[in-house]
Order: sequence, then C-alpha cells, then structure tokens
Amino acid sequence: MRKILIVNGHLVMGGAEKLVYELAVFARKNNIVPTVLIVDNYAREYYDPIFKQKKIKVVRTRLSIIRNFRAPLRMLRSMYWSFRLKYFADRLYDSVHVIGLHNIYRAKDFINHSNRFYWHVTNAAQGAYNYPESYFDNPKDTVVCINQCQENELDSHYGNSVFKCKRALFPLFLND
Amino acid sequence: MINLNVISRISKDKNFFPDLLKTLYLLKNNGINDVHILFIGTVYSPNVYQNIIDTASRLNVSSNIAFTEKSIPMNELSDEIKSGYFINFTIGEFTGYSGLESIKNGFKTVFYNIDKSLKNEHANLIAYCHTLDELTALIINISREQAFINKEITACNQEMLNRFVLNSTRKQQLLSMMLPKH
Repeated sequence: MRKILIVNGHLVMGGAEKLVYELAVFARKNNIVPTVLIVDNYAREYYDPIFKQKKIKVVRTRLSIIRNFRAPLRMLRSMYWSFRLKYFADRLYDSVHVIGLHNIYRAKDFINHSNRFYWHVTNAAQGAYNYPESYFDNPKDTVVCINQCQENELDSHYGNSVFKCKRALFPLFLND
Repeated sequence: MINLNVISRISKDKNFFPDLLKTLYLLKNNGINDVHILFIGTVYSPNVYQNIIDTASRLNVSSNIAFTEKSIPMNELSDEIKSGYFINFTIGEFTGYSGLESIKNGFKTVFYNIDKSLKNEHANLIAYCHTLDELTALIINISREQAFINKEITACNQEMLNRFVLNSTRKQQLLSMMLPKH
C-alpha cells in the first residue's frame, strides 16, 4: 500500500487545514493511505472528528524530544515518532507534504525523506517573508506554490539563485 | 438592509478589515445607511479586534458592525446570515479555500483584492472588486437593483467554481507529487 505523510501545526477551521483535508481525501480516492501529522499541538480541533469519521489517521506528537516525565506516554510516543521519521521515513512514506513554509522548521531536520514537498499557502500581503534561505537549500525538496503571485514574490524577495530546491505550481483544488 | 459577512479569523495576517469599514463610511456618505457587516471568526488578535472597533467608531459606523467572536462552520450559519453577501479577501485573482467553500455552500460571494500592487490584474467579473471604490460601487448597485445583481454574482460564482475541479492532467500532476518514484 502506498503512503504519504501530511504535516501541519493545526486542524482548526482554516484554509491551510482545508488543504490538508483535500490532499488526504485525494490520496484516499487514489488508493494512497494518508497520515496527518500535527506537530507540537495536542488539542482536539475542528478537523479531528471529520478525519476520524473518514478513517484518516491523525497523529499528534512532538518531533523535538522534550523530557516530560509528567506525561510519560506522550514522551514515549514522541520518541517513537521522532525515531521513525528521522531514520525510516523514506521506507514508510512515498512522500511528505508540509503545509505552510512556516512549518518547515517542524519537519526539515526531523523528517528525513527524499521527496519532501513544502506547500506555500500565504502571500506577501499577509506578512513579510522572514524564512531563512536554508529552508530552500535541499535539491531533493520541492516548494509548491498555490498561485502565480507567490512565485513572483519568492523571486523578488529571495532571488532565484537562493532556490536549490525544486519549485512547482499547483493551484488549490476541490475533490468534489 | 444589506448584510455583508466576512468569514475570517480576526488576526494580524488577515487584517484587511479597516478597508471594509471605509466602505461603510463611503456608503453612508452616499446616503446608504442600511449596510451591516458581520465578522465571523475567532479573535486571535485582541489588538486587531480593538482596531476594528476604534476605526468603526472614528468613521461613525459602529452601529453597522457586529462580531461572532468565534468561528462557525458555514453550514451552521443561520438562514438570515446565509442570505447575505460574503466578502472574501483575495490576492489579485487568487482565491483561498474560504471563498471556494462559500461558493460551494451557495452563498453570494464577492471577492475583494487586498494586494494593492495587483489592482489591475483581475478579470472583469462582477464578483471581483479590484479596489475599495469598486467594492463600494458594487454595494451601491446592489442597493439599487438587488435581484439583477444577485443573479449576476451567482452566475459569476458558479463559473469560478468549475476552475477548481481537477482535470485529468492536474490529477496526474498531483499523483506524481504524492508518488514521485512512479
């Protein structure tokens, strides 16, 4: 069975979370098993029951190890996922999709995979680009823009030479 | 009464709300006082929230705005709210998921461009407002010939929705991103 991992920081009622949903549903429709990984956030949010109903697995954990002896189960689970994704992500998943450039820091050093896709879901008008250039230094990674304006913004802010990673444009979509 | 709804969390990265208050002000100057804006969304930034209230007070439109102060799924909105116009912020022609969902729910959805550098890049569609003046003009037109404008907005919205359904090429592109080794 083919598998993908989708990484985000929330499952609240929002556009980025809707993209998580549409990607997961698309995967399922095409016989790909999606796992939604929510990092550093244990709250139960809007899409949790929706994914549960659709039998889409949601994992909430940390990838950076924090010793938390007051919550030993969470700590053990975090150690398990950190180990899994650091050393075996390539074997476990066909691709990893990180939603939002602001979430790259949650994944880049913790999920080692040769097909990581960073979905860019905001525009310059919503706030200055303050992402380090190192986010874009891996030739195996791909930054996915969802509109042409973002591509122009990235070029004018960073300059094309900063991007050692691949770049793609894939506009937002609806499954049905 | 013309009811405008804005579905958005009240936060810094979405803070294009004062423009809408200016629209209310301009409408009042044109003798149109019965336009009401409901902001539907959780307050993430008390500063942004307070700024909306202060700006509304300064422009003398406080009685024309209200807040839910929490996010509400579109299908759970009351029929009265659903029958209003949903203002969605866009970047040039780019529409986020809230706009698409709004159309999918059958709401009359109006798009307002918030990136001033892109004000000339919209297609000439009735539901797209490039500037504050265009948004104001659209609401004036709604107040004059509501039934006709409603029909035009709905037709425009439906045409837009078709662009977001995956065709076979885009479907293959997405599949090759999910399964890159094949």
